[in-house]
Amino acid sequence: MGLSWALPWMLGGLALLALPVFAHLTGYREVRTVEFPTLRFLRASEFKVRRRRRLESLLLLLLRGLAVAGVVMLFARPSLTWTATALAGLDPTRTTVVLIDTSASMSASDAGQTVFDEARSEAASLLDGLVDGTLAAVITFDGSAAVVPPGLTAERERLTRALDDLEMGAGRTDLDRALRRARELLRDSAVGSANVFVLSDGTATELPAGLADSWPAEVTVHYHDLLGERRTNRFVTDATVRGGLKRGEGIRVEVEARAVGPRPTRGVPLTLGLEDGVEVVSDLEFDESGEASRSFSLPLPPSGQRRATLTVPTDGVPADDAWPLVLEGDSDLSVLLVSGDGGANPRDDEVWYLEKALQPGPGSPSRIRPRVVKAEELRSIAGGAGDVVFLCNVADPRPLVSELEGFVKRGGGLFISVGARVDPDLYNDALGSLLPADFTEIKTRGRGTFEEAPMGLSLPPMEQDVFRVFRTGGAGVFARVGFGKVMGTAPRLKADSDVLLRYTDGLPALLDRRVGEGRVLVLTSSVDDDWTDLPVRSIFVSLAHQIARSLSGTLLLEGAEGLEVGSRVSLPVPPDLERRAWVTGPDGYEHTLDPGSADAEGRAPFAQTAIPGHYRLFWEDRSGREPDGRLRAVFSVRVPLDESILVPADRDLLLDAVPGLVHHGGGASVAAEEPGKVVRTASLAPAMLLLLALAMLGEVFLAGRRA
Amino acid sequence: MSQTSAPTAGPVPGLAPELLEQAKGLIAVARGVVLGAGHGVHRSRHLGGGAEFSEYKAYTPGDDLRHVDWKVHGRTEKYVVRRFESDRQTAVHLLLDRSGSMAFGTTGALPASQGGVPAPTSKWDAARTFALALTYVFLRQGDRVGAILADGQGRDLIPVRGGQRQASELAQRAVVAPPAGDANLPGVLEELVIRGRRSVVIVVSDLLSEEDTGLEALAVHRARGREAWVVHVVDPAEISFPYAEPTRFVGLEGAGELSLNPRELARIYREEFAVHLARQERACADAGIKYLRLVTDQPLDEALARFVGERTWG
Repeated sequence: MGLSWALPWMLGGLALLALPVFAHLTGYREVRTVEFPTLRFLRASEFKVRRRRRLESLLLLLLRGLAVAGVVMLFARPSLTWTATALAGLDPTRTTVVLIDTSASMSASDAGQTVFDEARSEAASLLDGLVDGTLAAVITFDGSAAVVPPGLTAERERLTRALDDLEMGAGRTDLDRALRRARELLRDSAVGSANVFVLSDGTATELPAGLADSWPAEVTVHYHDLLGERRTNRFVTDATVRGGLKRGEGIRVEVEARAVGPRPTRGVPLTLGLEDGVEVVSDLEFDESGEASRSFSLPLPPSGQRRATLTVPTDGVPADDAWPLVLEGDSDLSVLLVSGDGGANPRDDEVWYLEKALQPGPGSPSRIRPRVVKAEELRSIAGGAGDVVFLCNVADPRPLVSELEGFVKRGGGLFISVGARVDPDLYNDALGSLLPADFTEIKTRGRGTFEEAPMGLSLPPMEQDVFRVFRTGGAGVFARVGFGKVMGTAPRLKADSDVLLRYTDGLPALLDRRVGEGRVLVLTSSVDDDWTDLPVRSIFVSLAHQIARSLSGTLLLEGAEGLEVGSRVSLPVPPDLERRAWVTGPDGYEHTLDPGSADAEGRAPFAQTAIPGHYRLFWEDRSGREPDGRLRAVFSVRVPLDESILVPADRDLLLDAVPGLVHHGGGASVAAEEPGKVVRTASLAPAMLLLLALAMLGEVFLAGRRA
Repeated sequence: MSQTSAPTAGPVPGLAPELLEQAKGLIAVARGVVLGAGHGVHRSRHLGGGAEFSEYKAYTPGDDLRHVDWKVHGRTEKYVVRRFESDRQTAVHLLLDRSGSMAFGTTGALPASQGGVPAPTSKWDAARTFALALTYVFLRQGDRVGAILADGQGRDLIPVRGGQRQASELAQRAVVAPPAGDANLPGVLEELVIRGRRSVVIVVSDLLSEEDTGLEALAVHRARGREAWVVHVVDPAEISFPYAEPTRFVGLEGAGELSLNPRELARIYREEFAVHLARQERACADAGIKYLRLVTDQPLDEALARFVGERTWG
């Protein structure tokens, strides 16, 4: 550390220090002489103030000397110069791009400072170490990479200020994308030679791939693993919710957890917190491999979805201490099954299969409550329609038409299946406002029975709510379902109508129409075994449930569980552009969904999942009865597991992936590495000014006292 | 001019004309002071003197109504006043401090009083004027007056006598020499020979002697039954110390000099001097000596009236 002067010859002005000394020695001159009679009282008074006056005089001399010296030194422009250590690889004259990892694992902390804080501090040191005029840029990266404004610039002060505003994310570590972004930036700025510093915790979800051949030879990557050996963490790796504990009256949450590092691994409390404030605590006991499991038994949650959070004590990586999940609970669903063909015994009833599929009987976990009525006995559905009405092979629906229209328009669901009793013309006349397409005629295939029918169902569209459940199996069964007779429909669909499923010959099998707030599904075959063997196929139970839930709007958001930060999710939104839909994030911020962005199935993409936690989907009713919207779905987003495991990126793979990469940190050999040297200079002018101001203030104060 | 260490008597022979003019001016001022004191001075007549009937005289304004003979008035309807002749007249001994410190004065530029009495130029000016006014008062009531003017050169003695010439002599002696040196008031008071008990000793001084202000010696006279007075002459600048700029203060009685910044110690000085004033007043009270503070920026006639009033009503 040394003191230097920009204008050392100005120090000759220190001779002016003689002025206050001269003033001190000679400056106390009487302005007049007075003959006075009471000199002895003056002497007594002067004796009392003499000591204080001497001290004040000396202090005044000192302050005046300091003031003069301060002014002189200020003109000489003093500065303090010292050598500081910086990250290895720093070249003060070379263009420098700093990549700062903002992924979840950067929240790893030691002694209160996170690795992210260290990275930001080291980035500032790097920028400070560059000589004036050297270009520099900062890029932040997690799952994505972004250049921090103002980009590649020689204005390092702006960059340093921008560093203060950086915030840590919770996503994964895509090192490949970050390096590519740095390469693009240098290429766009026509910079051939540069240093690229990667300031990371060493964890990388996505390693560089395909860069080996295209990486510029004059661009050196210095990879700094700032976390080193401090890899300690405990976290949840999986949580599964299972139902049907006892006669369908309970659920079990099975939790898998893992410990990394030397932290205590026994008696670690794991808390399951529910959104209503209920908390259940159980201890985790990690085995030698660092794994632990624990389960929570809970009463069956009420209908719909409940937000829950699994929490472990704050440890190495705070970002993953909370694992959000959604406890899915089927809501109670009331279904009215209108049977148009009773038959002689229950087995022959039109809706017998349907009833048993929806509600097998006591002990079933199904929360769908079907009620069967015969069409000829039904004069009104008012008060008894429930959430969904199944109109199955009803010969004359006319008495119910007006009530059904009102029911659907208010948001109810209507399922229509046909059969021998259905007269196409009568249906077209009576239910034309509800049908997706007019019926034409009953078409027979083969001998008219399913046993010898050559016609099955085409592969269902899995993105549709009704069929999403078959993604994990059962889709192939659709082709094997046999149909002997089907109801033909007019090729022209009515407004807001769509064909969800077709027969193998191309005829529509399942049609959909939105009417008002509600929805109508039409199966152009029967739900008993007169025309088809669908009711006895394995897919029938699931399909019946999905149809009922879909029509009632209580279908669970399949696939929403287990999303990682940064994931994209498709959310069901109303197709009506007039209605506002939004997602409220864990931080309370509302992300508006553009219904116009929804795909053909009415699902809008949503990618603002940057924060782990629960996200809630709302949209307004058309009726305006709920202007604040109604909660439609909940999904959770968690920190990527790779960020929790803290496994450092393979050094050899990194060296292979990026030519010329220099790996700093993470091992004993690196500890002995020669650190970078930075010559720092700080102007002492502000300190001098402060000293001068203080000296002058003190001088004014003391002189005032003396005056 | 007579200014010796031995007591002297008589008018000052060969007084320079300008000093004579000064003496006349002093007399005029002193008379003005007496006139300014007004009613109180007249009421003091005969008090303190003898009480043996001498003769009747016609009443004139200013005569004490208590001495009007009402029986004669009842018979003749004329106002006559009984006159008394003292069997022993009061001897008034004035001791004037003419030490160097009495030369200090800051009030010369002040306007004259309502009675036309000019402001004194120094403490000595105030002291001699006040003493001369007292002389007039005492002589008018038939008392005998003597004076000693003490300074560093010695004492100038005016023997105790009656008659208006005493005033003229005091005026002339008071102008012949300026204040200088140490007056040694204790020595003067110790050597003062006074016969009879009906005597008044009046010390006019600024009481600034560092060793002994003479109060103890004056207390001895008081103990012997004589009426003792201290007229403490103080310049207002001595009280308020109105100096601000760095100043070299030179002692008026050879006490050296002192350079200082008055602002630094003005507060402490004022406190010290206030204590001094209070101490002198309390010392007088303790010894039975009557005390009158004569601050030179206050009208002398008012001070005289206070003196006379104090003597009259006690």
